[in-house]
Amino acid sequence: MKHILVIDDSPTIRVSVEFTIKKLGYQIRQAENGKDALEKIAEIQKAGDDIALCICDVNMPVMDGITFIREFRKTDKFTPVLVLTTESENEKVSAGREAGASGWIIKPFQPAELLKIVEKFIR
Amino acid sequence: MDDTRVLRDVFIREAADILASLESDLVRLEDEKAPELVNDIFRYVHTLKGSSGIAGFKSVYAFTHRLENLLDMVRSGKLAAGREIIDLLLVGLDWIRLAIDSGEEAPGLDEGREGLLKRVEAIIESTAPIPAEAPGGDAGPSEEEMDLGYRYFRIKAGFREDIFETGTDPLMIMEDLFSLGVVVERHTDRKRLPELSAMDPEKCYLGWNLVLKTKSPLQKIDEVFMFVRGDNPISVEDITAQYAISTEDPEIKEKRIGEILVAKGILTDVELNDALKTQDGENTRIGDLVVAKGYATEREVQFALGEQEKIRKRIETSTVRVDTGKLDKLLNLLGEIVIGQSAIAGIAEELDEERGFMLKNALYGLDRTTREFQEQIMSIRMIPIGPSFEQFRRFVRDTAHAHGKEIRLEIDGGETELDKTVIERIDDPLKHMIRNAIDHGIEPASEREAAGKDRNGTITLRSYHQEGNVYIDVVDDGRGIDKVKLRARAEQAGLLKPGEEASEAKLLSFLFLPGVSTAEEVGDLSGRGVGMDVVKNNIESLRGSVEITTRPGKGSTFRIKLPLTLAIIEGMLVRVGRNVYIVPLLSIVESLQPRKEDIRTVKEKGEVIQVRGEYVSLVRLYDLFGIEPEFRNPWESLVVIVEAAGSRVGMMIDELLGQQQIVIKSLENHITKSRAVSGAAILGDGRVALIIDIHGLIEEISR
Repeated sequence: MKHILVIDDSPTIRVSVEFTIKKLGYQIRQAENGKDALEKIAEIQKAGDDIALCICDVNMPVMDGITFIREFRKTDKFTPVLVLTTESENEKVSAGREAGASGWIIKPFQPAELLKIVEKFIR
Repeated sequence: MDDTRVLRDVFIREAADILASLESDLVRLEDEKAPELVNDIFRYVHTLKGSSGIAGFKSVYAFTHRLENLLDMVRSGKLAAGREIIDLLLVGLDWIRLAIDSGEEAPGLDEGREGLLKRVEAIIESTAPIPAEAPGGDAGPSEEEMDLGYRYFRIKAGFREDIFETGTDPLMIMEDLFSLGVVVERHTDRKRLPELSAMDPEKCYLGWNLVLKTKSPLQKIDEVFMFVRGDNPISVEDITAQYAISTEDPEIKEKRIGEILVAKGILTDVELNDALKTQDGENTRIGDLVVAKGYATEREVQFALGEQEKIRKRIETSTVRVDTGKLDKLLNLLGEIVIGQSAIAGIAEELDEERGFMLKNALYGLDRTTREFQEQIMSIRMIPIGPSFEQFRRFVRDTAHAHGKEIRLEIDGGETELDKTVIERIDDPLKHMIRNAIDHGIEPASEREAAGKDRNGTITLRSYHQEGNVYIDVVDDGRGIDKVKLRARAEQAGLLKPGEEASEAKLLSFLFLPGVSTAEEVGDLSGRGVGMDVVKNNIESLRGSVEITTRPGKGSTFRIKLPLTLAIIEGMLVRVGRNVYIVPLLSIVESLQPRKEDIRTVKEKGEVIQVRGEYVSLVRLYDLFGIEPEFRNPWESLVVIVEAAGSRVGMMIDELLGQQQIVIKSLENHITKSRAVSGAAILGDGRVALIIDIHGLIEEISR
């Protein structure tokens, strides 16, 4: 079973991402922040499953997206991580890139657009 | 439900949470001006913007986008977070709420938004920007301009050994520094301190590493070091953002001791690496190593350990949201387990002595576990009252302004936990009491000033646990309740005869009767005492009570006493015929065996019983419930006097069986239409007993 992890503190965003990409046939898991995500990842790996992709917000309480990516990259160099940002956070894109992000999506997104980007990374 | 609907629902719930937090933060910002608050507010608006865009609330998205720009200017210090901006943001929240509630279809929404956006533009244009750094000298920025909040600076000051020779005393410099603010963290750098025998008293070996919390700009701090800078190793670093995160913000992660020591400036990276290199295996602790190497003192390591513990604690208290329905279900299931246990206990009685004893012993252990289980479930239902208090900040502010008063709301004991149901139902009574305090309690500013008090009034909401109860105090520092006027009112209303003795408590209790109030002018806010009776009834229906204390010129306190939870009550078990009923202990005034001559029948009141000169209606419970009693004559039976909503009745029963903690199981509506029954409970022996609702009983018989 392959999982896609959606990490955002806003339930609205998490749910909308899940709805958009669920047709791709992956198991979709939600996490509220970076720390939550790291825990979920550990769970998934313990169960012997793989992570295909992480979609991750930048500005979150407890553990922000940039820190999450850094932590995640310590053990996993290859799984793509997409950063969710808003157009007012341009500087975050480069911070995310430095931390090891693979690409980014600007919020609010069009479903088709999101799907296209995600498909590009998990092909 | 299709995806879009689900998404909208998720968004509506999320938005409600965010708006509530925003509102409370904004009102706090008005008082505290803390930069962390500005950051939080910015983040909330930012999140709201993102979510509304995704959920298809286009108008809200566009609007929050503009608010975000405005807040960004505040955050970056280009605009001061003044009253005007806070006002505008609060009204903006109302607009967002209306837009979301109406699905962006409320009439006048667009006009409202345009009006608000114009105000945003006006503020951006008219508000003088906070001047960057004043051009040196005396003309520093004024208090007001710098009122954005405190900043934190990490200052590392080392001095040349021969600094005393230049006539400079580092201590003087430090004292200058302390006059600028508060030192929140301090470490003395003793690394250069030689053995006592090698020490030259004319040399300076010490350095300092501290965090200063100050409202002064960086430039002021630099000025302190003006004469020693250059040839002494001194660094000043603005760590406000970092400090706010490590001490206040939830944005935290677990840290290693070494990291903390470096972050606090006790160790340098080089020293840490050096210590790590010599760390052989897992068994040596890095703290011990750095002490052994003389990079840090024992105390500094202890300090870092403390910091680590703090961080860990904050990480641990993460939470899960649970539907309270699930908890109720758990509690109900537990009730079933208790019944099963009772059934097994019954079997134990029938076994032979030895095996019966063993079974009973096993059951005893099980009983303890179920009891603890029950307590744990109850504790899950408990939530802190803080958020409930916070929401009144806006209310106090707006209501006070509407009255031309300036009133601060202080909150104390927000961490006190109460049953969720109680918290939900205490809101209205609290609101009413706060409104009363604003309207009647706190005097106008001129009157306060004349009395030598602070022009601004203070209302305090305080909550605490005591003896198995929760107390909520609503305290104002206003004029107090005028007992002379209250007495006059009471006489006017025919509650008291002229000249009749009345204790202070009795007088004050009149305030809870309909139609009594001491305000000379009837305010449009709380009217003429209407409502305090409702407040009292609401609190009593939560099985609580309310009490007033007042001091002339100093203020009044309304003290609400509540049970910790609604799911468990202290009950008195009573027997009528072969049935057992439960009477809430809080409602019982006394139990007595009446004399024959105390029973009368009074016109329009029916049967009454005389208790110390007062007549109390007599309720024959067996009649009410249609069952066969042991005694039909009141003088043979017992009478329990109960009280609710200010009236008393006497209930005829056959026997008092004793007190017990009762877990309430609610009854479906079709089981009983009687208002005199509020629920049922399962007794230790597996029997079911109905809980008598004294409120309902009194209402039922007065009809």
